[in-house]
Amino acid sequence: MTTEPNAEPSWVGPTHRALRDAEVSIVGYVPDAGLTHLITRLDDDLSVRTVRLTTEQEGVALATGAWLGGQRAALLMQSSGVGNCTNMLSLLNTCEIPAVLLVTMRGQSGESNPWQRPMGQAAGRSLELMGVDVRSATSTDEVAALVTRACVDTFDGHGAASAVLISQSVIGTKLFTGDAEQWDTDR
Amino acid sequence: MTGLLDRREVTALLLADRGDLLVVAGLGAPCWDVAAAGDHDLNFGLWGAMGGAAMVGLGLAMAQPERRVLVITGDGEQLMGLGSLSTIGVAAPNNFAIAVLDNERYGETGMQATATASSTDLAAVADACGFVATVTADEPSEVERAIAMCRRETGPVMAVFKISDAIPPQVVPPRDGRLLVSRFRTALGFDG
Repeated sequence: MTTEPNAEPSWVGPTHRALRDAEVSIVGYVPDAGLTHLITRLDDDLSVRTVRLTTEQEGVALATGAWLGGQRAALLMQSSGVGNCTNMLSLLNTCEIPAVLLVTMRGQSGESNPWQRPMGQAAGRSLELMGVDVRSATSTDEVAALVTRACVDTFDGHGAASAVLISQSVIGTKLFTGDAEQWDTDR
Repeated sequence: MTGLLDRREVTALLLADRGDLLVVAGLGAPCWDVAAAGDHDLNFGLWGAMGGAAMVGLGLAMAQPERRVLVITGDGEQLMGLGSLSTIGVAAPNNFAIAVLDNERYGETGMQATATASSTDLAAVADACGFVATVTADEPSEVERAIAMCRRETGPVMAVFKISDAIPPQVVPPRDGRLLVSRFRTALGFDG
């Protein structure tokens, strides 16, 4: 079905709580349509300070500084932004900085913008190549649980950065019809 | 022609009587300059991640709002993170300063000219991004004022020091990233 993008998807509230419960206090992001509602919640959350980045790689360095200073950080980005992070991820890897990345996917099956496909298809493998522990949420009801697990692994467990890829089957696919923006989603 | 100032003298003055100052050094010569002023648990010197020094400083400044954070980096490193000046201008950390040791050259790679040798004015960029104050020190007589800005004035501030292209002896800090993080966090009272 086609829905307006202004209704909050069911995964957003539990995912926000998962980040709060993990005591994430600094969040860097580059906006993505699939992240709109989560960004609004985090911007409004007084226990979290958000930083709107000009490019995603800034967030990797931000998370490093946050950890040096004793705080936990998460980063939100679209899959295209993963490519912008690659060299900066050396920081997390070399210095064993724990950070959790939430990545909303483009370029998967159902994508009608071919320019999104190369980085969308490479995002997960790119992160893995740089030493990030990657998992994918393919249904709405597993997003928050995977974020919780990623936070436990990263902040309390192995200490390496973790990413949760939120599939287009969760966030929907953007339609390009020449009309106002529309999303095809089963959320 | 590059600047008149001596990078090691400027760095030593930036770090004199540093107290509980938190220091991030950008990769390359600024990392060696900071090491030459004395190894310290509260130094985080980057051996990579070019373009990231200012944003590491922002994360640190947000996490430690009661402490002063000083990023010491080079012109080439800061040019790679030019967008971060916009991000920092918006975040507006009042405990944050950047000192750019600007020799107008990529000093580690054959002294190729950077954009600051011709058309880019980093202090003007920081100004345009909303930094509270900026200064460019060209002459020895301007150094004291620029150092005071970095150490004391309400941030975010940037001081650009126009240094000569002389290459002093390399002084290397520890390169084990896990060690650098662990000792920094331990010095702040956190589990390494």
